[in-house]
Amino acid sequence: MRGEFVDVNGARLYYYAAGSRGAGEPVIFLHGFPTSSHVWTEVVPLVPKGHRVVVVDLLGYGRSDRPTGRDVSVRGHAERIIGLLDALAINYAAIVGHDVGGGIAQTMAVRWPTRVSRLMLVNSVGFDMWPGREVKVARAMLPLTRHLPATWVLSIVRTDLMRGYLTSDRGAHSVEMYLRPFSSPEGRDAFMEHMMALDSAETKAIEPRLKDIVAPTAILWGAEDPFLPVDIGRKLQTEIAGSTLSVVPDIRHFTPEEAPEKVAEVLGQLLTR
Amino acid sequence: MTSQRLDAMRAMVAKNPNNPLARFGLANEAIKAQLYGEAAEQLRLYLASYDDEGNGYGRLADALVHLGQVDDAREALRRGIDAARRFGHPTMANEFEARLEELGE
Repeated sequence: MRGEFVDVNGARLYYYAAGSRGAGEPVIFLHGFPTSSHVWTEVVPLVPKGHRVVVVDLLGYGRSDRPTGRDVSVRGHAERIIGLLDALAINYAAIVGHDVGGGIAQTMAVRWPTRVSRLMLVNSVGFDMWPGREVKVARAMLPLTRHLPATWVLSIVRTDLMRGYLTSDRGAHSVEMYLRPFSSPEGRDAFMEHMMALDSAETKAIEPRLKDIVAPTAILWGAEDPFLPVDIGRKLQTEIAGSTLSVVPDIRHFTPEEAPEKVAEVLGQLLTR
Repeated sequence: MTSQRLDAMRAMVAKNPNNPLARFGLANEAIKAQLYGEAAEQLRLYLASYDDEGNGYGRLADALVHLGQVDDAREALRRGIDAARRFGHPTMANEFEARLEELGE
């Protein structure tokens, strides 16, 4: 496994490569808000052999550059990931997305259909069914909260994110890792940029085109997700022809961390379709 | 499973013959099933009606090489290079150039 930075239109994106090159197409993993490539750590070793694996920190997350005014909307991230595929000489890949990463994956499958060989959506955003009430309230309070210390803002976020975990020890460790890049004043500003970009405009815009997705698609959901209800997954399955939906009992939002074997099992099946 | 997908994509094309992306999807399923003649036919129809960014031409070239139609594969790669450059995918264009060299150009 090796990590590298790639310049995509003037922004430095971090990714790490894993897996083994073989006959299978590459697999690209995209995380959501406000996580990082870490969310896939326990899934990556379980990816079937013969696939080049690329795990990305989206712009403004993990080790990638801060946004500093660049477009961090779903569409903006999708364009940047296409740029990353170009930089890595990947023409055609399976895209796996969690949370906002699932929205990015949907956009790629709709707007760049010949670059997406297969699609996997895990507790994904979709339609106009996100963001949740908590995010909307937090955004409404941004004129106030953007002047508060980063530690104060992050303490609220930390408590909210923990609701997405079944196992609190795991959640505490991961949430600390996810929030670390946002703990400085500059980090707080980046966090606010992400908050402002949490918007369903793109997933709503592509809704009528989901029926045109021709890539084999698998949808996987933690049944008890408090942020993105499984109804989104059911609707995605209805809209995307031939897609499968698997629901994991008890698991909440962070399915890649809390049910990595199930994620790998569904991905393995998808890669043979 | 591939056979089911192939049948489903054939049905989708039959239902929507003017949808180029359905043809692209059918071509990909045909490639998985090693039905290269059907794949090449569907990719040609797709490329005739869709402004492809390059990858479709590359996949057509793959199918044509399997069919032993090397001259046509070279032509597909040349068109793919043009499309990839036009849409700002230089590494894809470079890869197709390398494949052209492998095919003896």
